[in-house]
Amino acid sequence: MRFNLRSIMLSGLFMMLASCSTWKEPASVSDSEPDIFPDYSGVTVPSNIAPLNFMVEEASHIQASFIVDGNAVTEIIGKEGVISIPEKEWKLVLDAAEGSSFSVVVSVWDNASPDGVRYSPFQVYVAEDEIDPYVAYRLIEPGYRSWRQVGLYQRSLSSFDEKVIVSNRTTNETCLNCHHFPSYSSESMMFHARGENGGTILYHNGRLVKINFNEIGPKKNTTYPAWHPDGRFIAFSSNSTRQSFYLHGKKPIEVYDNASDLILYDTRTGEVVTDPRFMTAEVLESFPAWSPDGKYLYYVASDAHELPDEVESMHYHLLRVPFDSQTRSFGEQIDTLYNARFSGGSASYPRISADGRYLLYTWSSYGTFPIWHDEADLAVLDLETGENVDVSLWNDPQHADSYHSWSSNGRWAVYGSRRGDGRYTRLYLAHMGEDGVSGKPFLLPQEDPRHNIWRLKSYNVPEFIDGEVILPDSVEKLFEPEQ
Amino acid sequence: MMKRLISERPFSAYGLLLGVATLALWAVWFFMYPYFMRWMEGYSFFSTVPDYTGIMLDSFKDIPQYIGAFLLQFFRFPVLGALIQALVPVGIAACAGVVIRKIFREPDQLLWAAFLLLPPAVLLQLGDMNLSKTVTMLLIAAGCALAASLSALCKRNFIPFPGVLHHYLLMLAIPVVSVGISVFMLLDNDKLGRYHEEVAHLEYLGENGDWDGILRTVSRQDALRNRFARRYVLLALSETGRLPDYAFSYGLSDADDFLFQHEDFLFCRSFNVLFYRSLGLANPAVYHSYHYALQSSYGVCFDAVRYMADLYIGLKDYDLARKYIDILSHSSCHGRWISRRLPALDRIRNSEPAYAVSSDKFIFTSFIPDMTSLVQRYPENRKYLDYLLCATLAEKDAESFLRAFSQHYKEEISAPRLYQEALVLIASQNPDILKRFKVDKEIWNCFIDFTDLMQKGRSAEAKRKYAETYWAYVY
Repeated sequence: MRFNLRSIMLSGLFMMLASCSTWKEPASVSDSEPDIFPDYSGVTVPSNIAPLNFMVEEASHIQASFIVDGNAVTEIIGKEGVISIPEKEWKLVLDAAEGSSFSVVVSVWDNASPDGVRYSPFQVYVAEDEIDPYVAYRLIEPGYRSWRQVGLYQRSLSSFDEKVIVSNRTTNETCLNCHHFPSYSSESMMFHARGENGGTILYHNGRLVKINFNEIGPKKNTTYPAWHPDGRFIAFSSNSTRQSFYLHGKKPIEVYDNASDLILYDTRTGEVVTDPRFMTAEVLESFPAWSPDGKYLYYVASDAHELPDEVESMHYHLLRVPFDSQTRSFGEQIDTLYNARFSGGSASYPRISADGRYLLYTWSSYGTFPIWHDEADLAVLDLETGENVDVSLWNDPQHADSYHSWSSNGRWAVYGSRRGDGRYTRLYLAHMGEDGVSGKPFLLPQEDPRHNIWRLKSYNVPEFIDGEVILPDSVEKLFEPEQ
Repeated sequence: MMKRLISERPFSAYGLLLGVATLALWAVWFFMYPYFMRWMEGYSFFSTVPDYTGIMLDSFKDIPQYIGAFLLQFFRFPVLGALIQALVPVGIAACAGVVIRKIFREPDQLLWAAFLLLPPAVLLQLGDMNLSKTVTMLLIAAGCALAASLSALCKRNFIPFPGVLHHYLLMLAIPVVSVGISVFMLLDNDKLGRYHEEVAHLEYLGENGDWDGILRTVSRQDALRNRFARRYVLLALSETGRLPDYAFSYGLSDADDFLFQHEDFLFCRSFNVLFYRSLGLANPAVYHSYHYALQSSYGVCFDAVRYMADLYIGLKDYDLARKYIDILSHSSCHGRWISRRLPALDRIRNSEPAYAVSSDKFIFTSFIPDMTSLVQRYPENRKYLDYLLCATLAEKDAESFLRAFSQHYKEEISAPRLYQEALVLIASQNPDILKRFKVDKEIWNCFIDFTDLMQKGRSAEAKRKYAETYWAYVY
């Protein structure tokens, strides 16, 4: 009798579990695509990306078929409205669809459709171009002057693993910013640590050092870095950055530089090299970036104005100057690639693709810190033709799309966008084909899509890297009070 | 009877005394610090979202703070908060009791010794905002109790204790004295103190819009003594439209008295959030909410998240409002709070966000320029105008006062009392003023009486008689 009772209970449990995870036949069919989050419809993804888990809000039951060439490669039944694709099955889908596309047929049971509705399939394009294995970024509360927990993190792009590279718990609660890697290498790294016992931390050739730029050479602070491709030099802009706060309106903050210059640090000699043309108070230079061959330094520059009152008059041009690494000197001729005076707006963050052809920058109506500008969009300049490349698919006209990097093969860009909720920056990945045709970008996949809502931090300064960064444990010692 | 109970059933007596200690400590916390406990909840944060857990539980040493954050959620209800605050030290004493029972000979006669831990445990609670210290001590005590219990499996009651200490009076006196000291420490606590409770009470009233409650609670002396009380009462006067009548009755002496412009202590940011919410200025309210959250050891706090959820509902910004409500739904005590807001959230689901038109003005310069720009932009807003006029009066800046006043008050309108008093004062230098603005005869007569008393050298009497006037402030 006891045995029978247990059997009945177990059977009941199995039936319950089975009823929760049974593939169902929806009662109706819809012509429209499902309202999924994140929006993965029509996106182009690399063949080594993590599963594109997605959700339909308030769905009591959800199921999805992943179809390649008319064949269902896998069928997934969701939980709590979330479709979580096992990595193994996801790999099958990507392998089958590489170079073409797969479609996803989603059926949903919710209050509006209690008997279920099958939506029209949406397409996902799988490019043959792979993406770098990791992206590094900073996580910090969005905006304002203070921070509590801030850290530099790295995320595997083919899985959901996120690891801390260094956080301010290690660095005596300093603010960490402007992390940078030479030529996508995870073997070297630099970042700034602001605050008590702070400095610029350089991990290069197996050596970990802290440099206080306020004490060497022209004694200028360092801000935005650009590591020369040969690894020897780092160009920095030295910015005196301020914030002002708007009384009204959606844009709460204006961030601007009261002054900014360019300097060059020689990692071999420990010297800071300057060029008087880039050290004047009349012109503000910022955001240095090297061409992949190291022969040009790209940067932006604007005439100085009375700030913050004349902040809307700050229009940054896009410029480049030749560089000779043998003589550590910059050439005479400075080319203007984007003339803000004629074209309007302001350019920030120039970044050159690995093949040297495309220059990606952020356009905004004025100023130098576009993440708080809703009108800020990405723009691409073809350096061979001098023409603009259409990347309108990458942009959200309502929200800021800003800080960006190219992948090491030049086929992918990662950038921050506030299109999700207007305040918390999230990372988007976008494809650009060899022909310069851009694909629809996609939100960095998360194991649970709701993570994008729950995370109370913004992503900053995404940079592709070729592997996992492992800083020596001695990094903590750099921040101990000096004896 | 107590003697019999202690002698014959010492363990029951011990249990009874632990119960009395719990009740006594609960009563002190509940009756003396209800608002401070609520505030502690607001200044803490706990969520089951993975990101928060990942950051909070970075290493083993984070466990006490994590447990503390979980417990602090219940401080939203002072009955439960007081119970937790009472049970922690009593729990430590109970763990000590377990150790005594496991390792000492004739242990039941020595259980009084467990109460010796009560005062230090209570002392540790004072100022322990995130409960990490008290949870650490509780975990250590529980660990010791567990270790003693395990060791008792091999060998128990092996430590002798001097017989002289087995006295029923000790069993009575030590617990009573320990509880007494603990209660005294709570009542006479400088760190936690009545001051924090008082401010937390005002904050509670302000958050709930009980402006009359603030005006009833804060006396003139309170406002002079306590800079938080002064700001809360000035805010309450503004909210009730009585600022231009009574601003100087509560110690207004500086434009900075209206908010915390340059201070960053506890309670300052949350007051500033209320201040800017009262002015309908979302940007600075969000700014101070962020900074308030960052002051908390969690980098985020319930109060700030609740403020922002409400702010963004008000701004019809569905995405952000929903984000914060979603995050709060992953805590333990926000069910009702959320369900009250869901209808409003649902209503704004498809709305366009209602942000004000962008401003070309920057804030946080200083109070008078900020208010001047607000008055220029929103001339019909009475709150902005009153703040500007009262601030110029506080600064004794007659010229700025007159400039702002003359732009917004017409001749025929009878101005509020303080403004008329200021006009009378200015008229003593510039009589033409009275051709442009109306001053009540009663105020004129009072001023004549005031100046008469002053000229006769009876300034103390004049100031006493006209204590609430602008003249008393100026002279």
